[in-house]
Amino acid sequence: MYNFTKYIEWPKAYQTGYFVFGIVGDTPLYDELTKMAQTKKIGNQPILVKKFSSAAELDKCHLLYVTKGKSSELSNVIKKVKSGSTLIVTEQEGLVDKGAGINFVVRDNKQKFEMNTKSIETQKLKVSSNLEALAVAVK
Amino acid sequence: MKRLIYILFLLVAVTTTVNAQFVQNNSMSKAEFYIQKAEFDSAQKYIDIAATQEEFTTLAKVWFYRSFIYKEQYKTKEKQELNSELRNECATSIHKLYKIDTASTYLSQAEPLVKYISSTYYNDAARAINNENYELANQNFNQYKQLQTLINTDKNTLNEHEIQFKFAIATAISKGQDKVDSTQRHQLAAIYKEILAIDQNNPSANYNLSLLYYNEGVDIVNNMDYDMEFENLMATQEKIADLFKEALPFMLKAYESNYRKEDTLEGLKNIYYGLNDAEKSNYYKQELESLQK
Repeated sequence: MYNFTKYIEWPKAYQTGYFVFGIVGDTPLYDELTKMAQTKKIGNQPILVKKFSSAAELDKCHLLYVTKGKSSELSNVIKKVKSGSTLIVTEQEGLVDKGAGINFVVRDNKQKFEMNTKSIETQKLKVSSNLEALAVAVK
Repeated sequence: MKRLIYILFLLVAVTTTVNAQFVQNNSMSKAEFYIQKAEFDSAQKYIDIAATQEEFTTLAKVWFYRSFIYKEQYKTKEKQELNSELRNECATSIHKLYKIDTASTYLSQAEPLVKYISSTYYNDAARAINNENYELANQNFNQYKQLQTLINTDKNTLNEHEIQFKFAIATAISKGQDKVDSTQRHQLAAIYKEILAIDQNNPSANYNLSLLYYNEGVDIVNNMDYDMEFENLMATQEKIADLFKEALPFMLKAYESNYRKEDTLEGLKNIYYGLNDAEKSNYYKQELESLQK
């Protein structure tokens, strides 16, 4: 997830203050990101990790990770963040076709990702073509 | 009376001369002569000559005597040495004897000698482990095994001894620690594979080998840098997945043997998790939880 931020450019308004990683649902990733936030920055922005239990609780995030268990919330999440510039990351087969910008999939026991450039650009984000080259599928 | 003394003197002189000539001209006889006198330095000298002479080299007796002489020399001179040349010569002679004594003329006499020498190799293999000289430990154990094979020791018994010996080396290498460095890991993996070549279902070897691969993968994960470039990240992920895949069949075997059930369930849960197979990981997680209730 940290790597994704190197290939995506957020609008100017999102380039100051905290870089917010949001997580919807429970995942060990929360602890990992919190640990990372203590030492890393995104550009000049310090990292803040927020946890949400549902789409209703969401506020401004740069990157929002929807856990597998909360995949059914995706449409609500999209509605909630559509006016902002949030990269939505999911981990459920098929969600890349349902509005997720990046979706983790497992191929040959390895974690890969597919991406939907249109969904990402709808959020006013710029994607590097290098990231597309690394994806297993680009929609 | 004077005549009788003269005859006796002559008889002794002739006998001595004949003996002297016999000993002088026949290295084999000389060796025998010195064996009887328990003068093994001389016996060794002459048996070595006999062993290279065309007329004697194919005689089982030569190699039986040579085994005996070198065994005595080893006992006297090099018993404390873990890598004794005298003992190795003894073993070489024993093998030669068993190869050429097709009529089994000397084999029953040689058997106690074989047992004795092989037992010294076994003990010195263990002592070499304690000294952390694993190469020598292996050499000594192989000598033990080859000698035991000559006296038709049961193959299963020999295999058991070999497995015990290899586990002893593995324990010495790891010093009982779970954390091992890369060199130790390779040494241990080789040992566990050798054990599995003898007994493919050995639960402990399966479990430990699986753990080595799994831990290597986990170490890579733990040492990954947040700044690692995507390309490297992908390549590293491939490497980690390969290690977990290597670990899996061995852990499954250990699990099927009912070996350390909780540990193998934990192992399978983690390996499948590492392989991004949530379904199977959860299956073993649930089995583990029900076992722990």
